[in-house]
Amino acid sequence: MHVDGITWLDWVMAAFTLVGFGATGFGLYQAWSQARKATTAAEAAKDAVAATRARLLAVEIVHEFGAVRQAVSHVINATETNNPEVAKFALVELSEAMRRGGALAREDGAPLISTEIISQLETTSKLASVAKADIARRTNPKVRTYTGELLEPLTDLSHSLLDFVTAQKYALDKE
Amino acid sequence: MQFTGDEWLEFAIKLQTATFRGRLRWTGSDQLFDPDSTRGFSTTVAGNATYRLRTKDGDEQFPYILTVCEPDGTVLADFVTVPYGDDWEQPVEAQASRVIAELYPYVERSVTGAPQKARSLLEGLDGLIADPPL
Repeated sequence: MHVDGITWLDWVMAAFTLVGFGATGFGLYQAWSQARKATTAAEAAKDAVAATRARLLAVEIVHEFGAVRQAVSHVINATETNNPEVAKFALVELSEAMRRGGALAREDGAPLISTEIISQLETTSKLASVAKADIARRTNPKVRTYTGELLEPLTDLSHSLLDFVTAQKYALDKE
Repeated sequence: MQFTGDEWLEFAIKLQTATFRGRLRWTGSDQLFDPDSTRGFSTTVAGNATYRLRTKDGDEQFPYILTVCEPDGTVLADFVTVPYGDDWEQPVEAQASRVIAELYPYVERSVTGAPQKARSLLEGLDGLIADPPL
């Protein structure tokens, strides 16, 4: 084929140009596709990290709530046997576990825990410390005088925590 | 190093007096989860000693521990408060414990700046309720 002023060489060059455009387009598509895959992989990795973190947090909370429940039963025993030394130890244990449990429950990614339980943990933690201080300050104190008012709310809280722990253990086992 | 109960009582009374008179400046924090490794409030008498006051259980409640250190921070002795009654007819350790139990909340408040804040807020209220000049 011959058009005035256009040689076969021009046609060849034009063909190469077209092929060049095609190759560039394909390259761009490949780059976009790779970037998309990378983004998807990064998002998937981020989700996996968040899920793992949430699971670890749930395990820690279950452990801490278990410690709270154990300390509650120690406080009740110390009250029944009127043992100030055990009571002081158990109240410190209880207060610390409650503080840690409350702090973990407020973290991002923590399993859903009712705000009522969290604020109960924080308030009762302070009351437990005050009861411990009242016992520690006195010679031969009667334990029930200082722990008596705590026992009922502690028992209720312990039951609520048991419900939560059971549900979480079931969810974690399922995963 | 061991100090006697009488010496601890003197430490406690003198620290309390100096603190109440504003001669000692306490700093620090007694929070259990504080990242600072040295928990407790401390104050220094220049070239003489450093005193540290903290709760035994990190919960801002009795019992308290008073530590006497060299100015470089080397610990000389600790005193852990013991149970005490309301009267002064009791062992010197109990008397010292009572003084320290009164001192701790005062120090805690002064470190957080609560007395100054309360004073400035109360002055604000005084301004509201003061009679206008005639």
